[in-house]
Amino acid sequence: MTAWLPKDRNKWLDCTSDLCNDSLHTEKLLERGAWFIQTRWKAAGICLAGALWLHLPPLQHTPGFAIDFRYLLIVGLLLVASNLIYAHLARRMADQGPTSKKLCRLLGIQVLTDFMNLSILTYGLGGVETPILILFLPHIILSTLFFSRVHSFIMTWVGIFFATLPIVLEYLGVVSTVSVFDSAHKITIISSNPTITTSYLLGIAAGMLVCWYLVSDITAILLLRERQLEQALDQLNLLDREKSQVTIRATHELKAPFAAIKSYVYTLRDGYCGPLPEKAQQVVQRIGDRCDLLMAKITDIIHLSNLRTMTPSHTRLTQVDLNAIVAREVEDAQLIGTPRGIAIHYQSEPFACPIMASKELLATMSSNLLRNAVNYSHDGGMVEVSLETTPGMVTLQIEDHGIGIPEEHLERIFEEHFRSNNAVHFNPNSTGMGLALVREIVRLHDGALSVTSQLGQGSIFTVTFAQSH
Amino acid sequence: MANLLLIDDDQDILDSLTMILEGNGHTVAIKRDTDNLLDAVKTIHPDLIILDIMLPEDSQAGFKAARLLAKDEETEKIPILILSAVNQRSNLSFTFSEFDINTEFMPVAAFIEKPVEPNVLLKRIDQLLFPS
Repeated sequence: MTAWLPKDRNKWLDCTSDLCNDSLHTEKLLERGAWFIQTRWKAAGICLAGALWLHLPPLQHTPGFAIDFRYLLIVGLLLVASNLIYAHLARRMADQGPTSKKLCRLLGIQVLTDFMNLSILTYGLGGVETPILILFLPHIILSTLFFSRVHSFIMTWVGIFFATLPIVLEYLGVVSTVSVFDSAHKITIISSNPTITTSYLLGIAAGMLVCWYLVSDITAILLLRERQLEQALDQLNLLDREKSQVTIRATHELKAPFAAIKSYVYTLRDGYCGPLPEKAQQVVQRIGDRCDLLMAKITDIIHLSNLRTMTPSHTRLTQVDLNAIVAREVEDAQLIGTPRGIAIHYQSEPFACPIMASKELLATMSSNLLRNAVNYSHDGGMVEVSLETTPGMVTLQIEDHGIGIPEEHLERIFEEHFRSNNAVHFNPNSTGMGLALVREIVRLHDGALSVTSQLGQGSIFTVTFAQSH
Repeated sequence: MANLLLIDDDQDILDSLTMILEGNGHTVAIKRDTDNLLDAVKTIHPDLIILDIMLPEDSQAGFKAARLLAKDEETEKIPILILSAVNQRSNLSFTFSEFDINTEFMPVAAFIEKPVEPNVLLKRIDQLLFPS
């Protein structure tokens, strides 16, 4: 058994000197406390139903049996009464903002009163005549989960005390012997023979201690693993945050000089530094355009590399309305479409389309698809956008009637930097990263992305997400 | 025309924006960090503050400055226009966008990404100074 134990087990034992199992957070304790109370309602129900059943005539007249239903009834009522108090205390504690210590104390009292009820039940159901003593074991197991190792050990001894108390009292003659059988079938040897009584009591104690030892050892290993996993997760989150900060800083450091250059370009272009000859104006315009492209590429490359390291579980998802996001991006895309006479027609659902998503990422995705449609449309063209909900799904479709994509390139357009020749000739100023970003964003949302296109006729991009309820 | 305060660590951004803003009749005061910000703002009495986010000493200096100004009775009503080079849609843990503007986290009036077209900047300033 010791071979199972982790090398730093002592370290674990050292940090559990408090009443609580310190690996359990308040939230977990609240959950387990609520489960414990729920389970006790079921136990109370079983006791009361058992009492009723024992009171029914068929069992009353079964030869050999003489079960007293009153013990089940008493324990059932005690469980109901105590559980009402515990449920009230747990609710009050939850409202007041509980601490682990307070919750553990409440759980400790619950286990203690359960032991007392079980002791009454053990006595009333004839002690050794029924397997009722087994019910002490779940409480030993629960103690190892709720409390520190030392305290669960103490609780085990409290359990042993209450499990053996009826037999000791019967043996000492303090209480009369109760049997579930009539006088002809009554088992009295355990409460009358000192050797057998002692052996029996020691057997119960040994059984409960072995149970505690095994379960607490396994629990210790599991809790240690859980703690190691939590530490690893914390470390990963920390690295993730550091990576994000480094990425942002890198983006800023790379973009800031271009932003300054571009700002000067604006002052030259708009005549803030005096009038420029026409040739110089053209050069300034081209400097500005290359600046824009380089900045967009830097942003897209960093953004894409960042998205590629993410998994759906990394993505901060909240319930967002895709309808509202698309409507906003349509407005923005219309600003670049209007100078070229391109109209965007948005056919939206008349109601919200809720999906679990990152608002910023969906805005980026919609923006890239819409700008793509506008950029590759002919002047005076039309882009049609529709959002449809079908049971459980939301589908966004963006259709342009522009240059289209050669069939042999359809599978490659989502690759970063890839651009088909007709796209390069039509619109030289593109990063070639937009659709790669769209693909990554759809992947992070477990969505589906497809494209159909006809060269010279236009393209249809379709994105589907699961609807949120 | 308005009295504007530009806070940015990049001298070229400050110079080029000053040219544009002064060229359109505004008065411009500049500050290259957020040290003693409250005192500076109370001395300058700007009608609007154009604020960068990432300064060399602190990548969230602009946020902190905005929160500081929002908490002071004398400065809380001065509109703040964020002007930052960080991509507003990078969805990283510490980035931000216009979606994040709120009184607690980002108590500012508007967000514009650098570089900004002079006309867009001037229009936004007008909107913030004279909301209709």
